[in-house]
Amino acid sequence: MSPLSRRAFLGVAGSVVGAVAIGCDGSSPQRPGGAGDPAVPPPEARSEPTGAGSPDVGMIASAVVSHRALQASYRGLTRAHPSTRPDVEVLVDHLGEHLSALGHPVSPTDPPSRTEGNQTRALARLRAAEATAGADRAAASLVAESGDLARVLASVAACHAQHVALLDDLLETGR
Amino acid sequence: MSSDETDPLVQQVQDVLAGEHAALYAYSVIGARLDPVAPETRRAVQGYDVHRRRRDALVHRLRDLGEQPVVAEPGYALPLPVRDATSAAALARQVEDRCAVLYAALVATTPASSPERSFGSTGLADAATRALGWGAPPTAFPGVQQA
Repeated sequence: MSPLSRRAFLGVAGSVVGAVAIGCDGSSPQRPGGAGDPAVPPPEARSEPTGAGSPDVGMIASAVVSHRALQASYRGLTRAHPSTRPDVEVLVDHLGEHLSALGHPVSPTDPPSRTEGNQTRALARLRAAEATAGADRAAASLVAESGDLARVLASVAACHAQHVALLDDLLETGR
Repeated sequence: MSSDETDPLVQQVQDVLAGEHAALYAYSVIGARLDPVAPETRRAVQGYDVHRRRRDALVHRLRDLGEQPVVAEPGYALPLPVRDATSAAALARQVEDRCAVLYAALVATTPASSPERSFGSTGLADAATRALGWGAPPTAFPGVQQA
């Protein structure tokens, strides 16, 4: 067993998201984002590394659908309650980074969700949606065939967990 | 299985265990630098407890696999001097960041549906939220470096 050194603890190498996106996306070039980009990609566009019919393909599609719905909800929140924008902007940015890493850049054409009720209720709904998304991505990470995809999904799930904690703070402080 | 010296799963579990040993050392320093009645002290105690439970689980898992778990070093060179609550929190953030990387690597290395991958996924999310508690900004990809 190699003894633990300062180097071993502090010098562990992380993987790079760019490499992960390639792993998920096979050899096909990144799809252009924008109008007409379908919410669910054609399976053949993503099937390179894991094989046709791999459940990994569905996991990516599912994450993309979930992320777009979350983004629309955040857009609905900030439209109905503009004062929340500074607090949730970074969360929305994260979702966009996830979509890019999964090979599906943000589609700005998705309309904002209709946001009903007061700000607290809207934030609470988003918190619940983030928690659900985190649980779904974590569950997918456990069964993904590709180790790289599993890592990205687990990391995305961890990001959702951070969002839940931040939304809890917002709800607690009543901002 | 134990004769396979290069089993990447075992090696990764050992790496995470080594990280948890270092994390426990760091948390003991962090706790020692905090005012006993400071709110951060409770956070430090919780962090220590969580990392201790994770260390114990990793030791048990390695023994179940017929492997000899790595042991803790007598001491560790900390990446920054801990003099007060501010530097203690900075160290705690670094500890959680490094643990997040180790757990993310565990997820990537382990087979689908294995208990190790589940342990890694949980550890990653826990480290990410714990870092937040110590004042780290949220990130899009905890445990994964961004290009």
